[in-house]
Amino acid sequence: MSTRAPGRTPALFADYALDGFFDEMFEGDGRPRPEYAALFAGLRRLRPAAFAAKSALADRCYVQQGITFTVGGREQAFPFDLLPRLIPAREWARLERGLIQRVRALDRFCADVYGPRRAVRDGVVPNRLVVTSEGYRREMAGVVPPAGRWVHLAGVDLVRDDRGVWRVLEDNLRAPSGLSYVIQNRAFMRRVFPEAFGAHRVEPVSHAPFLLLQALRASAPEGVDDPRVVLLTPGPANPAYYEHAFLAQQMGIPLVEGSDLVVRDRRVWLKTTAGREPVHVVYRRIDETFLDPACFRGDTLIGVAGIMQAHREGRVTIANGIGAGVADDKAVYAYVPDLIRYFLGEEPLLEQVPTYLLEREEDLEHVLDRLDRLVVKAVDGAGGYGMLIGPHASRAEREAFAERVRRNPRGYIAQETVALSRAPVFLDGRFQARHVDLRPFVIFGDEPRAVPGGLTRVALREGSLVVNSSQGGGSKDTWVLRAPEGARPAPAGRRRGGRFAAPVDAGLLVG
Amino acid sequence: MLARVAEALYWTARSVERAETFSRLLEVSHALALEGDLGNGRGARGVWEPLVDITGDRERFLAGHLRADERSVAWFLTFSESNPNSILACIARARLNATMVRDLLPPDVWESLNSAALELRDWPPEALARNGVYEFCQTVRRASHLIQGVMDQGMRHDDAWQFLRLGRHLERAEKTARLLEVKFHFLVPADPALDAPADLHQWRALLSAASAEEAYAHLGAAWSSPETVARFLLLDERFPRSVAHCLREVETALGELAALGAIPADADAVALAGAARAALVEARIGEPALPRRLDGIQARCNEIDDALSRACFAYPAHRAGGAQHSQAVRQAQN
Repeated sequence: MSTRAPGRTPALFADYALDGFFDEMFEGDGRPRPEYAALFAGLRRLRPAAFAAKSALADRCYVQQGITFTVGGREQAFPFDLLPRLIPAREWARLERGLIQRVRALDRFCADVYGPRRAVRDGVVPNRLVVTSEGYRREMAGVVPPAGRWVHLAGVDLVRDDRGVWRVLEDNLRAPSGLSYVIQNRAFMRRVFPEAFGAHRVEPVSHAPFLLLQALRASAPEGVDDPRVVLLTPGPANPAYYEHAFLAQQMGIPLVEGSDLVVRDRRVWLKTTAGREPVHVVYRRIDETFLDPACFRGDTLIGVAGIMQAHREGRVTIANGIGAGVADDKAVYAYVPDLIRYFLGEEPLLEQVPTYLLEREEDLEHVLDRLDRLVVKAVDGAGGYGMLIGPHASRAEREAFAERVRRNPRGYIAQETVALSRAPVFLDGRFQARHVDLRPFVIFGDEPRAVPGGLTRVALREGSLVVNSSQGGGSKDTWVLRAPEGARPAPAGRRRGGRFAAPVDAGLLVG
Repeated sequence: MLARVAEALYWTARSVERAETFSRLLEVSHALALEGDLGNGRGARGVWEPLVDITGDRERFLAGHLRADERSVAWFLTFSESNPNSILACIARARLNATMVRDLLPPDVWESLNSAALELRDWPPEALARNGVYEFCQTVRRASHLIQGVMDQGMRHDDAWQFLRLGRHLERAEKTARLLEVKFHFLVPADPALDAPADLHQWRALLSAASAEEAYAHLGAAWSSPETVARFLLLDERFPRSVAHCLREVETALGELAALGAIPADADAVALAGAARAALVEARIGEPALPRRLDGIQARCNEIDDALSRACFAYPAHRAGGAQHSQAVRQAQN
């Protein structure tokens, strides 16, 4: 059942098969989608060897920059695919509204959970679900963080199903990573494949760290005019250390470890060579349970003793808010559409994946009967771990998982398997279709703003649905294409037979 | 400036400088041993043993090697894992420290260091034996020049830069003083009749070990006098590798840091830097006590390092231990 791209196929796309999946680049009949037409025409003139050379150059960029992810203790370059993923302006505008709506509601939900709990009282979400969430922090009950903000940076994972419908797969509200890759992917594209930009008008992304800094500053404790913001990292041993260093550098803020901070006189200070200096906002990239031995795990070696007390007293902002994980709980996910209606009085703009809560008796039996067709996830899992992909699992794996679910139904949810959309990925000298998702980022200071596009993640193993970098995932640059001005055709000079024209924004190199 | 960050900057610069110094020493020694009296394997006493002394790791060297010759010393200085100051170890240490302060460095600095570390790590050791040390040493030197150039030209000369400057020049002052001390007997021959071509050969080598051959030649000074060579390397304030210049840089960097409020104005290191310079002014070339004075200058350099560690770098939860490392690794980034 494979549809092939018809006649005059560029060598790069020889044997490219759609296999009945929704393909990001091609229509069901094998013709390129309109937004991809110029890119496809340009690729037609490129020999596979030339594309391979570019890919190798991009790989070198990654190694040179030390953009590596540590998998099982080994440093690996973050695999990057040079063919960008394109999103037309109109489609992005719709997604953007949906993302902003969702993050706004989730932020309100956090404030409500640790505040009046109206949503519980009004029966929108069960109290038991909230207080049994792994992400719930009773230490935050009654706390109103500075500026009332809980979610400063959100990564909302989106997928497209077999009809091309965008669906939210999950929310990441604790320490979502990937923003640095969005920016660096673009920088490497400009360096390695400038001609691909051609006639496209691509929304820039390199201002994202500036937006984040603005959001962090806007969330400073009251009365602080010129807040000092720091990024708290677990240190170079952490797999995402590159991102921490990159964001700190881009924002121009100190990159600090727990031992660089100290709490004295109920305030947080930086230990400098000349003594102590005050800190007002901590953008933390460590698990909150490791943040403060006086409040959470006593055995933490990477935290700051007393910081939670300073936070609760409103003297220091911690971003994202401590306990925001209650809102990205995979069981709470099932209630997000209702939360949007409840808090914002709006209909949700983004679809979700049909989800079953296994602590509901009837859902549990229904799910266990159909395990071979569903995806089961641990509610607090991250990085693609602790999940069962029913259709890909063996009978023994399914039975073992069923047993775990029965022992702890609150710990799991089940979702209908989504036939994730696919996109061409350059592997072994030609394009092959691989499943992709999209992690856009929403930055929330005074007002939520989405970074155009986001990180397109690719499951590099054939047939795999797991895109996480910790499990062999790669990424693509994601281009939000600006609408043509007044829908006029592009200037004639830019459209010569689909040849790659000169790059349009090659002057914006980052890093 | 964070204490941990200051220390990482300081060690980034020191380690790069050390790798460059050792690579130049290795290259010069290699060339020196090819010709004249020191050729044909007779260079052990004249070239390779002093080189081990200059690196200051004689005991560690003797623990692993029977005798100092071209093979053993070259290995010890390049790849040896038992030598914490091998060129590879210095570059790796510089990279690790630079990674901790990557946000403060121009991107080209970290990238050059990363590229050099990866290239040298993958350098086939047998190529060193087969093709000689030149290419290896040149790679190290070029990386160092690039890194130091970008640091100087691409950074604001703020407190971060001053810590780099401090590390680089303290390392350089100490190593030049040691180079002079170890080679002293060539400079002040007990028997004036030894003023023979072989010694000219040695003097030239000494100058190029300090990267000073051309600079010295431009002075128009004749090769005639060992004193002029020593005076140049020790006292010429206009030459960036002389002990005098380096100590002045150390003193200036400390002064700037104090002025910026990055270190206390009454830090011990400031007084020590002054004392080292004073010792230098009193030094008289040709006096029998010169080796002792050179030794004293090195001691002052080490005291400055100690004082910095105590007053500016030390912080209570000192150094990442294994448990902290494993917690850092496990932090989920979702």
